[in-house]
Amino acid sequence: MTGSWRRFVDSPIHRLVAVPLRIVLGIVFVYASLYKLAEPREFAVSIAMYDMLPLELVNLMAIMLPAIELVTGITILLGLWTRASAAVINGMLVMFIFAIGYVVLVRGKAEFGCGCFSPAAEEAGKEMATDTLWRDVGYLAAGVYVMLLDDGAVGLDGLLRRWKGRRRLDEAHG
Amino acid sequence: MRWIVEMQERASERRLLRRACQAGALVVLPALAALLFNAVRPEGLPLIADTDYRDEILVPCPENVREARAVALIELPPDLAGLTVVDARTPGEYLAGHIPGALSIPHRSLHSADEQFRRRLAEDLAPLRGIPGDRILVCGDERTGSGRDFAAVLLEQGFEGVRFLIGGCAAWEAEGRAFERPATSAVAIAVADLPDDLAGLTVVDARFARNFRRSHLPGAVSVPYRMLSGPEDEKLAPIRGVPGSKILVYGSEARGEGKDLAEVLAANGWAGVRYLDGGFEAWEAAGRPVEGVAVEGGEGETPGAGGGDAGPAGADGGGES
Repeated sequence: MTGSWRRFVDSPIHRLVAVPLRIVLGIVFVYASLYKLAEPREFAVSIAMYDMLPLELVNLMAIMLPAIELVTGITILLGLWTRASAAVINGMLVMFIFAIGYVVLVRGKAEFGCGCFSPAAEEAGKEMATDTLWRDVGYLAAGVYVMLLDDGAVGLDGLLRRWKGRRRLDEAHG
Repeated sequence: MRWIVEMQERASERRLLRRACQAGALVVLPALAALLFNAVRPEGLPLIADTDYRDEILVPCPENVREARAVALIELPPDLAGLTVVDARTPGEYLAGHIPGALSIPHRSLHSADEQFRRRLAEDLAPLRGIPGDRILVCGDERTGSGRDFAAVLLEQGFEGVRFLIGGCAAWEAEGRAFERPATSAVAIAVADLPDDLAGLTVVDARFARNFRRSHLPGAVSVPYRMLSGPEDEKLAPIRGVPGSKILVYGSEARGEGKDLAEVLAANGWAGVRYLDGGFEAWEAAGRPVEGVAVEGGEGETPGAGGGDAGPAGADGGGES
C-alpha cells in the first residue's frame, strides 16, 4: 500500500502534468493582480462590497493582496520555489472560496461581480454565482496537485538543483 | 536499516521547514514591497480606510419575489380621487412635470450594500405611513420599469394591495390630461457657448464620485446626484450661497443626471441654474480641458475657477444624512 503510494508520488510524470497547471495558475494570478495594482481604490471598493472584513483591514488587504498574487503568479510560472508558491496560492484560493461561498451560498444572492479580474461594481451582468465558486475550486485542485506532487524539475527550481549538484560534484573532485 | 529511515525523515522535515520559510517569504516580502510602493505612489491608499466607500458600493436592488398589481388609467376614477399617487421617477423628471398632487419618492434602482439602504428607504417611505396599500398608486418610468419595481418594494414593505400604473406617469399626459409643472426650471447650455476657463462659474459634477475622480471639468465640485438624500444634504454645502445663475451642472450623457440635478436645484432656490447639454461627453468630445486621475499629471485642482474648494475630498466626505 505505502509502497505503491510512494511509487505514485515519486513518478516523474507529475513534473510534466504540473507544467500546464502551473502556467494556468500563473497567468490567472498575474492577470488578476493587474487591475488591482493599477487601481487600488477600485479593488478596495470590491473588498468592501463583500462586507466581510472590518473596515480597518480593507485598505491593507487591497494594498498587499495584489502584490502577493503578482509575485506568486510569477514564481509558480517560472517554477521558482514551486511548492511554496503553490501553498501560498492555495491559501489565497481558500480565502476567495470562503468569501465567494459565503456570499453565494450563505447570503443566498450575490448582487455584484466577484472583483476577481475587474472592479466588482463594474461587473454588471457578471454577478457571482456558484460557477465562480467552482472555477476557484478548480484552481485550488490544480494548486494542491502542484503543491503535493510537482518536484519543480521543469523550471528554475530544477535548474538551480542541477547547478548546485554539479558544483558539489566539482568540489568533491577538485 | 532504521537509521536510513530516520535520516530520510529528518531530511523531509528539513525540506518542509524550508518550504514553510519560502512560503512565508512569498507572503511577507511582496506585502512589504506593496506597502512601500503604496506609500510613494500618488494614488496610494491610506493604510486604514478613511472612508467606508459608501458612495461607491452600489449594487442593483435585490429582486422582489412578489409583483404588485398593474392597473390601467381607465380603470381608475378620473380624478384619481381617494388615491395617493407616488411618482417613482427621478426628482428631475418629477419636477419637469408630474400628475397633480403626486408625491415624489424616487425609486433607487441602485443602493448601498449595507443597512444604510434600509434606513434611507424608511426615510423615503415616511410620507406614506398610515396610508393603506390599496389607496396607493405608483407611477414610474415605463422604460426602466421603475413604477413596477417601486410598487414591488412597497409590497415588500407591507403596503398590501398597492398598484402601479400601466404606461408609467407618462400615461397621464398621454390621456390628454395636464401635468403639474413648476414655475422655474433649469436651462440647457451648449458647450460651444461656454468659455474654456468657465470663469465666474461654480461647476457641479452630478455623476458618481468614481467618475468624477477619473476626470471632470476643471475646478468642478462633486455632488453625486444619485446619492443625494434631499435639498438639505451636506453634499450641497459647496454651492450654498452661490446664486443659481452662477452654477453650471453637468452629468453623463446617458444617465442625464446633470439635467436632473439642475431641475432639483432650480426648484430649491437656485433659480436660473444651467446644465450642460450633452453632459460630460459633449464637453470631452469638443476637446475641452478636463482634469482628474485619468488625465496625465492632472491631479491638481485648477484654482480660481469658481468655488473649487471642495475637490475629491468633498466627494468622499459628507456622509449621507
